[in-house]
Order: sequence, then C-alpha cells, then structure tokens
Amino acid sequence: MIPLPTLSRGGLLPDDRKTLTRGSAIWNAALPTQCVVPLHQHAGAAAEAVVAVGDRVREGMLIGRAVGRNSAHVHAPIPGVVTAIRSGEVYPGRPSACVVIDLEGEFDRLGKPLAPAEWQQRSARDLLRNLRECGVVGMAGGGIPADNKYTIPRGVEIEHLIVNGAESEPYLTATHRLMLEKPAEILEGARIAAHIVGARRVTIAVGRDKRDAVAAFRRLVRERGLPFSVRAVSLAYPAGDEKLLIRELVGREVPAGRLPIDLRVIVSSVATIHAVYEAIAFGKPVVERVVTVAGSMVRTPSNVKVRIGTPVGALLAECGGLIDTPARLVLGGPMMGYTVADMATPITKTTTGVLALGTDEVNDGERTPCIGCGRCIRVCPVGLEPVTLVKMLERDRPGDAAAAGLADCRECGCCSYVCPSHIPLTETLVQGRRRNGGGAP
Amino acid sequence: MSDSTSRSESGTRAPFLHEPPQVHERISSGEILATSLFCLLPAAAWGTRIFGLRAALVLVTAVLSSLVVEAIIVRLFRARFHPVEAEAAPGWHAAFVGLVIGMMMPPAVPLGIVIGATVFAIGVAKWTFGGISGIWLHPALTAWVFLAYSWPDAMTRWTAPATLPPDGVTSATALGLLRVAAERGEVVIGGLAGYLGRVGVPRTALDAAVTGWFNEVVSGRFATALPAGYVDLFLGNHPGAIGETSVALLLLGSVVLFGRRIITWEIPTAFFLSFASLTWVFGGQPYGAGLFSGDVLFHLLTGSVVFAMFFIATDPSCAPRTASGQIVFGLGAGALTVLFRRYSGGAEGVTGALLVMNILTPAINQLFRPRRYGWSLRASR
Repeated sequence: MIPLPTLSRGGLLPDDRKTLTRGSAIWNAALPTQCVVPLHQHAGAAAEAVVAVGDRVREGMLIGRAVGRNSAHVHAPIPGVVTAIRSGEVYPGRPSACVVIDLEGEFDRLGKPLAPAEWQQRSARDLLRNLRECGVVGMAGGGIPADNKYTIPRGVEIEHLIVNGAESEPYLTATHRLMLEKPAEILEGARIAAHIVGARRVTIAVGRDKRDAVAAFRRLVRERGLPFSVRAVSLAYPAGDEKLLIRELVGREVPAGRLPIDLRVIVSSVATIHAVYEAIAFGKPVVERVVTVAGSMVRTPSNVKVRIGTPVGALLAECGGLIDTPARLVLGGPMMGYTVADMATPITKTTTGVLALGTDEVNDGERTPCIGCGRCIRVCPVGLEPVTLVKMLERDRPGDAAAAGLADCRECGCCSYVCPSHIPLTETLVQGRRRNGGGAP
Repeated sequence: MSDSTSRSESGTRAPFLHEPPQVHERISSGEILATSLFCLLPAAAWGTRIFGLRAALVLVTAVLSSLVVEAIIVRLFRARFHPVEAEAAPGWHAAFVGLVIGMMMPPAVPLGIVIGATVFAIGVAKWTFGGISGIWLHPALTAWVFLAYSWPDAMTRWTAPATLPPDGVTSATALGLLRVAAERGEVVIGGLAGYLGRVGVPRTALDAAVTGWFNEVVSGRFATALPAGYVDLFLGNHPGAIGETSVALLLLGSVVLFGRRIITWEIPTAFFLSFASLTWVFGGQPYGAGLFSGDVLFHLLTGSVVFAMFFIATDPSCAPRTASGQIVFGLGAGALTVLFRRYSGGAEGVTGALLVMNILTPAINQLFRPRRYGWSLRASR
C-alpha cells in the first residue's frame, strides 16, 4: 500500500491483491459433512440452544433462539443430527457454545427454486419480525441484528439509506462478486430495507475500483426507474467504514460518541441487504454466505458460497488446499480480521474472508524505536495521533488517552500498517479501549 | 489464548495468533535511516574527491566514532533506557548522524574535534533524551554549534578544492567572501558569483564551457544571460564543508528520498519558498541594490541550504509530524536562514535557523494537530 498524498484525510491506497479473486465467480461449496454452528455470531447475547444432542434437524430449522433485543436466531445450515453441543471459539477471546450437526437426510431448499414473495403490502413491523425470524445480522462484521438496526425510534425520520459496497479491505472481493452477480436482488433488498426504515433517499455506494458493478447498478436503476443514486466512492482503505462513508456521501460527520441514526442515516452492507432480500422474498434464514478465500498460500483463491458452521479447514480444502504453511490464517480482511489457530474454527454469519497469508504478505518485523515520522498521524482517517495515544497508554495514563480521542478510534489498522518501527499501535489502542470501557466502534 | 498450534483437517499446521492488522507495509525504520545515509554518499564522495583523502578521513572518523560512542553509552547505561531503544543501538541512526556531522565539517578540521562533535551529538543530544524517540534538537546541528563556539578558528578554516585551477587566491567560502563585501559596503551588481570572479576566485573550464553553451542555446532566447561561476557552484567546485558543496549530487540523493517516500514535500517546499522569496526581496540590500533584486540562485547554491533542506530539516525525529506543522516549520526555517545569513555572527545561517525551529517543534506539534472526525472546532478546543 502507498500512503495517500499528504494533507489528505488519511487512509491508504492499497496494493489490495484483489486481482487474486476479482474474476472468480461465486461457486457453491460442497456441503460439509459436519457443521459447527456457534450460538454467538452476532452482537448482543448468545442465542439459547433449542435442540438437544440426538435431535434430528432440517435445513433452516431454528436451533438457537435469540436472547434479548441485540441477539439473533441461529438456524441449522445443513440437515442432520445434533451430535454435540460444546464450547468453541468464534474468534480468539470469544468463546461460544456451538451446535455440532452431522450431515444426514434430505434437503428442503437446495435446488428447489421458489418465486419471490410479494412484500409491498406488508407492514414494517411484519417485515421486521420476518428478519428476526430469519436471523439476519450485519454481515460485514458488525453482527448487529437487522431487525434491531432497522427498528427506528419513535419520532425519528430516516432520511437516507446507504448500501455499503465500498469493500475497501484488501483481498476481499466477495461483495464485488455479489454485486456483479446479484444486482437485481440487492436493489430489491435495498427497496425492502428503505421501506422498513422509511428512508427518503437510497444510495448504493460502490468502491471506485469496481466500475463494472457501478455500471451494472446504474443500468438496472435506470431500467427500473428506481429513485436510487449509485455512487462510486473512494477506494482508499478504510473508505467502507460506516462513519467515513457517511462523511463522503452525506458531507457531514457523525458527532463523536453518537450514531449514524443521529444524522438520520442508516448504513447497511451489501451482504446484509442481500440477506434481507432472501429473508423477505423467500423466507430464507441466514444459513450460508459468500466468503473470499485468498492469500498467497491458497492454491485456488475463490469466492465461495458456504454454509455457516463449515470448518475453515474444510473450506480451504475445497479451494485446493494450502500450498504451504501460512504465516497467518485470518478470518475477515487483512486489516481488521483475526488470526485463528484452529482449522476447525467455523465460518460464521460475519466472516467476510478466509486468508492464508505468506510471510511476504505479512511483512512482520521487530519493534524498533519510534523515529517520529508521523506516518501514523497522516494515515489516521479520523484525525487521531496514534503514537501519542499509545505513549499515554503505555505510560498508564488512560485518562489522557481518552481526552485525546481514544474513543474515536475506528480500529482500522492503518497506523500499525504503516509504522516503519513496527510499533503495535492499533493493537495497543484496541486493548486500551477494551480495558477502559471504550466498547466496539 | 495460548500460542499453541493445532493440526488441521488438511494436515497443515495452523499459525500463531495475532491481532489485526495482519499485514504490514514493506518498510522499516532501519531501511529509512539506511536509505537516508546512502543518499548522502554521492555528495560525500564528491567532498573526498575535491578535498582529498583528508576529507575521507574526517567522514570515516565521524561515522565510526558515532557508532562507538553509541555502543559505549548503551552498554554503560542500558538499564536507564527503554529496552526497545537500547536494543536498536548502535544502529543506522548513529551512522547517519555521524555522516551528517562529517559532511558539515571543514576538510582540514582536526580529527579530535570531529570525535568531540560525535560525543556531543550522540552522548548529549541523543541519549540524554533517551534515544531516537526522545530527540528534540538535531544531534548534528547541536554538535556543530558546540564546535563553532568551542573552536571557531578550526571551524572556519577552509580548503581550496582540487578541481579549481591552482592559482586560487583564496580558500574562503563564497558566502564568507560576500559577507566581507557587504561589510565593506561594496556594491555588487549583476550576480553575486560575478563578484567572486572579480576578487580572484578561479573558475573551471567546465564552468566556462557550460555557461557559454547555456547562454547561447537557452538564455539568449529570454534576453537574459547566466553570469560566470554558477555552474561551478552548482557542481560543487568551491570551498566549503565536505558534504555541502555539490548541490547537484545532493539533489540527486533527494530524488531518491522522495521516490522512496522517505521524505515528503512539505518541509523542503516550504523551506524553499520562504528562503527564495525572502532572498529575492531582501537579498540585494547588503550589496547596494534595492528590494526585489536578491540573487536567489547564488544563495541556494552556496552554504548548506540544499543539504539542510533535504537531509537535516526533514529529519523525522525533530521535525513536526503533521503536514500543516511541517509547512510552518519549513517556512520558519527558510525565513530564519535569510535573517541569520544577513545579521548573525557567521556567514552561514541555516544551522541556527533549524535549531530554532527544532526548539519550536513541540509548540508547533501542539498547535497544528490533525482535525478530529466528529468534533466541531469549538468542541475540540
């Protein structure tokens, strides 16, 4: 990646390695012989198991019931028998009970096309209940249940729905492929979401590097006479960050400590909007998602539609297996994703990518003294001084760090990425936020 | 989480755990410092060519002495420093500082003085502040000032370059000669380099040839003429500190620094603009010319302005960190250089100018912060 010209608003121009998978049409992974389905794949509390060991489940059957408003239902991705309910890890530091299902029996849905259901006459309340029943959550990583996000407080009128197809994380092209292959479904999903939240305007935001997707959306919008605008947005990472996308498209900044809804804006990712469409049009619960499998250690980098709960190892094996031991095995994008040590770690609703990275991609290095170059400050998209904050945290002065804007950090990873001294800037900021109750962005 | 590994389904061992980001730009601080050092080498090599092996001895002494001093300090006081700092020393930074010190020296300087300079730079300016990340004043500049006050004679004894014809009457620097002219109230019109010729500073044949060619082919069309002497100044055929004379080779090094994105445009550009514009406005006054008649080219090519602009002012550890702060830093450095060249005790002004701006850097860092997302101007105050 190359730092952007200075005096900019931060961010990086990525050497994004998207060419690995950009041309790879989405294909369906074979059904895994066993799924490990975490009951905690979303923000909020873990779902409660409603099946027991020995139970026979059908595809799409409810196996975990949401507990509380910010929780979501979990469904069986494959038909079969529950062989265990055991503890596992969704990502490091986040244990979750997992329902283990061994593949067995017949399919209700696979290969049986349905006609999309009418939704125009249904009330927002009804549609929200539908989304909740289908366990739709923010599928770009946030995991906030869609019904919770789309439930607008009384007295608030939503002005603007933004469909986020920026996909600025390097390597990831799953959203790009989804936009190319399912543009009509995404536009329909956006209509549904706009209908639910009562948005007056809808903007489809697509990264400027995805010209073909922009063109596809523009053509469809024109043909169908939809009142949507399709905007090509910055390709600098992290343009897809919710708050930065709002600045770019709306021209206003979300005030510190507030939420987009305070600007009467709702941002939903393309993957989420697609899941909304499938939930409303077909009553289909979230049991699969599109994942980019990439990195120099993957033999056949691909975009794969895969069942939730598929072990990472099985997915990699389907993509030709690994060329060599990866330096890092990452769930999500390279900038914000987590490494996993266990090949049995399951794909969840929020897994955007599986990356097997080589050492030449990771570029690890020993920490050396800060030379004061200020690169971290230049790339910070929200105008923080990462090195100053980290010094405060390392000297155990969290109060000073809070005053200097620790809570504003987007955890995008840019500062650590550029630091020539390999100081773990983002890592320290994230830890500082967790420890001092900063919470998730 | 433990750092354990586990067997995968596909039989491959999975890697250790890391927090994001998982990828990193292919760059290191050592590489930045090493590249800065290598970019100085062409100009340093030129210094040894025109001033002889004696200059090479000065450069080697400066670099080695810096490394040795740093090694000794870190060994003696290891427990007092941050482990990351101590671990990285002695390293490229000391070597770079040593080379800069060597290049700022007159060729005939006694080697003991050079060693004293490195002790002061590395021992006092760098490690009393805890190493690289604590540096406040540029070590090489600090050492230079230390020497200029302690051994003023040795620091102003210049050597005539080997590339000039041997009938050179003087080995004073161009800036030094002009300063004398200004003090005597002499009127110099038509380019300051012409004055050097009139007081007997010789020119190379190359200067005559290139100047002639240039006037025939290029400047004739614009009804101007390049006076004699500037080509020698540009190429480095004039007395001065070991590394500062060849503007051409310094620019070559700076191109690499820009290309590798080790330095950014803000400081050099702001420095150049304020230095050039103020020189143009006021630079003619000491020689009896009016306002707006200063010889910008002459002032750029003499002394160590170009050296400082690209290799000292841009030193990350003692310059402001934000783009706007760096612009202020550069503007201030250029303006103070003009001021000090005219009014200070020595002919050279850039050293003092940069030290003053180093002193102001913490204040600049406080004043010129990036604007925080989601905070109105009032709220962030």
